[in-house]
Amino acid sequence: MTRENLSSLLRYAAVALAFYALGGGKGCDVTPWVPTPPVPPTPVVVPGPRQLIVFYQQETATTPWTDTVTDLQSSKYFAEHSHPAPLIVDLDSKDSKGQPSPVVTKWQSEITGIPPPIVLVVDAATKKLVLKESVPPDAKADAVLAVLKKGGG
Amino acid sequence: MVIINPAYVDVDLRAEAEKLGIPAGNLGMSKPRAMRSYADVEELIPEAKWPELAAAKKAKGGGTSKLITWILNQQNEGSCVGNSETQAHQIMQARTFGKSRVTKLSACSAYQLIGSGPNSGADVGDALDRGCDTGIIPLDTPENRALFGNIVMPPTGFYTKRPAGWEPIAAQFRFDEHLVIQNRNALISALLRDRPVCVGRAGHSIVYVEVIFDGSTMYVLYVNSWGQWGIAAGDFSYGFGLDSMRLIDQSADWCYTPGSIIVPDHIATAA
Repeated sequence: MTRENLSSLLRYAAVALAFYALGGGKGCDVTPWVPTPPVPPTPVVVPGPRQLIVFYQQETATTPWTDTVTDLQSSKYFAEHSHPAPLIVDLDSKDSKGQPSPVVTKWQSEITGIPPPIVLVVDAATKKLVLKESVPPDAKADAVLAVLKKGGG
Repeated sequence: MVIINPAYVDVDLRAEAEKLGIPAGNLGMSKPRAMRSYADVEELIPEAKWPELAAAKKAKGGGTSKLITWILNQQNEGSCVGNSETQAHQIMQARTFGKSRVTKLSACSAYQLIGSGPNSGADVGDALDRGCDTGIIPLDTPENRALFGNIVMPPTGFYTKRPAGWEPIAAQFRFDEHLVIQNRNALISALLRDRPVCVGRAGHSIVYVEVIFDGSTMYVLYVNSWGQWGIAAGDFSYGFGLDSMRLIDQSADWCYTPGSIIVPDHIATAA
C-alpha cells in the first residue's frame, strides 16, 4: 500500500467516523431478521342463539336511550331468530339482599373500564362471551342489533 | 296506534266504577312523604319538545304501552292501588328482562299489605312504600309454581292466606330506584322517557304510560285494571283510557315512577 493510498484510506475512515458520530448512520443499521409471527386466524363466528346483555347507567339515561330500551324489548327480531329476550340492566341494579346484581358481577371483569352503554353478545347455549362493544348513549336499537348480528345473532 | 275514542277520554272513573260495581279504591295521600323527586334527578323536557317526542313514539307504534303483557282485572275489589303497583312492576320487568320473562304478580298480595279490607281502598304512597320494602308475591300460574313452588297467590281475594315463607320470594319483586312526581312537567318528562307512572285520581288508581297528541291537544294514555274495558293500545284490544290536561294536572299532584327493580334470582342465572 502506498503512502497516498494509506492517507486516502485514513481520510475515508475519519469521514465515516464523523458521519456516524453525528447520527448520519441511522436507518442504515442492520437489524437482525426476526420472523413475523403468523397472524392469528380471525375466529369464525358461528351464528346461533345469543343472549344480548346491555349494561347502562340509569342516572344518565337520555331520552333517545330510553326509546332504544323500549324498542329493543318490543322488537320481534329476538323471537324471530330464536334469541332469548335481551337483558337491559342498570349497572347499579341490586339483588333481593341489596347486593350488586349477579348479572352485573358475573360480567364485571369484562366491562370494567368500558363506557356504558355496553353491549355483550353471549352464546345462549355455552354462556360464553362472543363479543363486547360500547355504544353511544344515544344509540338506536338498530345500532345495538348490529352488534348482536356481528356476534353471530 | 291509539284511536282516540271520546267515550274513554276523561272518564269519571269513580262514577264508572260504581256503574261497574267496583268499589273506589284510591284513598289519596294519608301522610306526606319525603322522597327523591323526579324533578331533582332528571332534567325536565321543555314543553316545546313534547309534541315532537310524542310524534316520534307514535311513528314507531307507541312507547311503554308496547311493554304491557297483561291487562289486570281487580273484579269487585277496591284494590286498584295494588293493581297499579303490580302493573308498574310488570312493565319494569318487561323493560329490563324482556316481555317473555315477565313474572306475573298477584295484585291481591300487594293490596293485602296496604288495604284494611276488600273494599277499603288504599293510599298510593303506601303502595310505593310496600313496593320498595316488601314486594309482591308471584301470581298463581303453572310457570310461577315451577319457579316458586307454593309461594304464589291469586289475582284477587283479599282474605286469601299468604303462603308460609313468602317474604324472600316477594322481596325479589320490589322496586329499587323510584322517584315521586309532583307537577305536570315532571310527569310528562317521565312518560316521554318511557317510565310508567302510578297515579291516583278521582277515587281510582291507574298507570300512566304514554303521551299522545291529537293535533295540539295532549292526552296521556293509561292502563286500567278493569279487564276488558276501554280502548286498544300496545298488544291489546282493550284496557286503556285517556286523560286530557285537566285530569293530567289532578294526577300530577302526587304520583310515583319506578326507575329500576330488584333483579330476581332466576333472572341472574339466565345471564
